[in-house]
Amino acid sequence: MVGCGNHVDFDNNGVLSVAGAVKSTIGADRKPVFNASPSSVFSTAANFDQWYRDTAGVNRTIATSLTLNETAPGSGMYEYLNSAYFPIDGQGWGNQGNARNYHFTMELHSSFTYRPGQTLNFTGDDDVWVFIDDRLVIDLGGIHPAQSASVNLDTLGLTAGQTYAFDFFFAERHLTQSNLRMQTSIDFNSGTVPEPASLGLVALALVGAGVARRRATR
Amino acid sequence: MSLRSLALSALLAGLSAPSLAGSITLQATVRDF
Repeated sequence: MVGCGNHVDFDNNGVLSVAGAVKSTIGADRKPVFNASPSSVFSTAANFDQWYRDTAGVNRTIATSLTLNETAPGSGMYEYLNSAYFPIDGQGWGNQGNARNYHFTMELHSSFTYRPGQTLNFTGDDDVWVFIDDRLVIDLGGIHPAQSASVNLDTLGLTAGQTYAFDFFFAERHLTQSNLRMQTSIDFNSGTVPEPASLGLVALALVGAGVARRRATR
Repeated sequence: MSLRSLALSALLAGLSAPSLAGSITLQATVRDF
């Protein structure tokens, strides 16, 4: 068996892009459903099912976060950009003798309110699958150099003002680079963080107004 | 300037101030292999 030691699908020496490696609809448990034929980069459905599920002795789970920063004040466009995305160096099973901890998967789940004009642009490696409204909208499966894909949400038949699920799956499976760039105008329901200065002024104004009203009623 | 005027000024300044860039933080799960 080849692979990184814990799993045959990780660093099994293949480099191959595979479209359609997962089904076009997300599973009932909000995980991608294996749909690939066995190849140098995918083995079996049972092995794939371990990628995004806690499996004792095979993977170790670590909570993390991804912060997208607004590209320009008031633009409504947010970006995460990292050409060395290695969020768990020295954690989990450790670096296993390598300079970085290369073998991992990442998933995130959120929701958003659809507004016409929203877009999602992604560049990265290795595997990336993005589901919006439970449908596969970005399909960059396989072990490969950084690849890009874009989605214009206006083409998905969504209803303005309605809330939709967003599910993102990533895997880093090879002893080389790990790129992750996500740029989007999707306003995720996890919330934008207002900058503190103007928020402070508004708070000050509300306190001041309250004091003034109290004085006026005396 | 009355306290009421000051409060109104601060409110207007806060609402119209050129805002700094915001951010969105998404919680994620990493599994190490």
